[in-house]
Amino acid sequence: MSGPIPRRTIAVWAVGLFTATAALSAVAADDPPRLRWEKDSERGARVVVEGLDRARLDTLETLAADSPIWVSFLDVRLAGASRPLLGEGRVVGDRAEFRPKFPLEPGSSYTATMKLAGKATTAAFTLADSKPTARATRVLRVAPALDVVPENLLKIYVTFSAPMRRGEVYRRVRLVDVESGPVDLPFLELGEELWDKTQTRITLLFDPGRIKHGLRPREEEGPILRADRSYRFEIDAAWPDAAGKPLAEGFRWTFRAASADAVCPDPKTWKLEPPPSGGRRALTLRFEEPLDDALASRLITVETAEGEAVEGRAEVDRTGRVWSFRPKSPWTTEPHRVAVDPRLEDLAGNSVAKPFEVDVFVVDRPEVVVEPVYLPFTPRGD
Amino acid sequence: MSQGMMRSAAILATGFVILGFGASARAADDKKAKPALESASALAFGPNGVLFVGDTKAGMVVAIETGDTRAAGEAAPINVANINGAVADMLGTKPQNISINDVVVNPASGRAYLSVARGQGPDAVPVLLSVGSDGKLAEVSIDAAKVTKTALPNPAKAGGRVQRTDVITDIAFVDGKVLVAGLSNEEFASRLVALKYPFEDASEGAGIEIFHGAHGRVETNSPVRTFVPYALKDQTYILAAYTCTPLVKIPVAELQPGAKVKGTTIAELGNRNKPLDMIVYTKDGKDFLLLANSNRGVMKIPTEGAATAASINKRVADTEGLKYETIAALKDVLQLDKLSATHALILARSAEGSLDLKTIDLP
Repeated sequence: MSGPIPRRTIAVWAVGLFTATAALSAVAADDPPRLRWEKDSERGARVVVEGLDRARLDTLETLAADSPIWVSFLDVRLAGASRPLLGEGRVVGDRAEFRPKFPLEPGSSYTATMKLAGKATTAAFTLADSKPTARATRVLRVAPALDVVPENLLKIYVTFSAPMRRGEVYRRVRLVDVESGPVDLPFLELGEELWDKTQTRITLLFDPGRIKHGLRPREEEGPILRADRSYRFEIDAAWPDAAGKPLAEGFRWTFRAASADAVCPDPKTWKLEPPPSGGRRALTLRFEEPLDDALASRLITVETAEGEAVEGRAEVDRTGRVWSFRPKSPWTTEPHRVAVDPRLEDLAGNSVAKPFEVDVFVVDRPEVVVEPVYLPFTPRGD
Repeated sequence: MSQGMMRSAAILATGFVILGFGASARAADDKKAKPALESASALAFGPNGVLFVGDTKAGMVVAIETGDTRAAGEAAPINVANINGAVADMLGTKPQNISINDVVVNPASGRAYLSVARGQGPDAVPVLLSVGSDGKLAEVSIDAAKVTKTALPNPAKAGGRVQRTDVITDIAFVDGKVLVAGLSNEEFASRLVALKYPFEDASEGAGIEIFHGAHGRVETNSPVRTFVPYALKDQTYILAAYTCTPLVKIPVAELQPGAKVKGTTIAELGNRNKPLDMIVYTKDGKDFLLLANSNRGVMKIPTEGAATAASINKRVADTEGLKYETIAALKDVLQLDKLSATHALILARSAEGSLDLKTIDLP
């Protein structure tokens, strides 16, 4: 299992700070313990000391895995590092081992130093660099990548073909006013970053302080997007993916801002096209305006008239206006309904429940919708 | 044959069984149980050394009884220059692969605790570390500690490819409750969650909707970025900074499951700026709020007016409401916590780009 490992031996003075290290210090000259690295499928490699006599092994065996005495006997660190690696020492059979807590990094060099009876022995190890991934990561989808969006656009979702690296997003995307150049700080910059679990989709929020009326950021600087102006959203090709490799290419989306949208989406205005019964043809809904890509895919569901969920797959097309649902099992002729969760938002953060901002001084405000909105349909019998 | 060789031979003769045992024990160890933490972001201490950890990836809040309750008298200063380098060395990686997500001080012992991610990809591993005045970093052992957790209500239905997450941005322990502020990566809404501790079953209705009203007029559902508990005239409040910059106060008593709460704006923090972290402290008999910001440095804000600062209803020249002072000496502060009555612990980015953990006098 063990690969070619360079070794060198250096003599140093060891100071016995602990009684246990003192017990380890007497060693037979004709039987020097051997220090080596051994490959390990989980951590890359572990450090192994063989040839220790039983008395020393017994002494080591009494120590806790993270005892500082282990470090004074066996110090394992990244080459040139100021501190030893976290890990655990233990006695396995007739050998002492140190297992790093975390996998060693491909391409990095590590040293193990064993101090015994006033002598230090060092063994170095370099984990081979991992094979580069065959295909570069690409931008799969940007939503809403439309020609025209309202000037109070709230979110942009970017989906990648593979997981991306954290800590980069706000210097890898930018918004450019086609006439006047880059827009300063258009997005809310959150250290936590709004990724999904797989780190393949990031949500960018336009700075809400520049969208909402009555706040200083907007009053002093105006909204980020202004109606009738053109903008370009750009993704830098140098943005590294989780493997550290740049994207296959950058991404550009040019669009024009239209006037602000302050109207809630109303499911009653949508056009529903019932599917034929007996098959698995898609049920489609056409919206009056483009809706939020992620929310429309998740918050519009299909159920029977009794409220039992119908399993299937929902999708929103690239226009943001057409939602389709393909059931897992063929449609029956029973009455069904589409259930719309009132948290569903349009591109400007107006939900079915309420607008993005509510002027509480207006007396005849529409009521906040709290229950799902149902759109009944029956699959066609043709 | 030398004595050593004979001994080795003897061990070889009988050692098969021993080695076999060793190997099977290791295999059992390696069988991965679900880790106690999938990620570690915001941290907060409760009483008796209980550390609350926001686990965004798992959608959980985890309580760890650290057992670190030994008061060290007056908390000694903690200073570790280039702490991201030191952490990277311990975890066997490069500093650019380390994120220090939060830093808090255990008030029971004066030790600092750090939530760290090793790696920047989706498989990044969370690590909790602690450090005292000797500058020695130690891993916080979760395996040995008593750990309890509770799930945050996630409105996304299980099954299928759920991409919705609630990113936890801050946690605090107030009046027997763990308050958790978060932000969804889908709907624009603020759901502050109040969880009783010891944890009970989280109910779906535990979310509190937080609104912000600009000039008492235009209301939006605004996510809270960071907040701090504060006792004011016999009532406990949280002073909270919204993502849209205003600083508000909200009575903790109003934070009931299912409630809709509107914060009272007590200051606007100015544009091109985001609040990062805050603490409250007393100096010369007066209370101050110390707030670290992305672009406007560290602000020292006397809280005197907070009790009376009614909702700001008209616009004034600069930061509205409470007046603030910018502490020029404090630059690029990312994290703040109170170390003692007179000192604070900060995590700041140095001119060279490293992260330094430093003890400062409270200004």
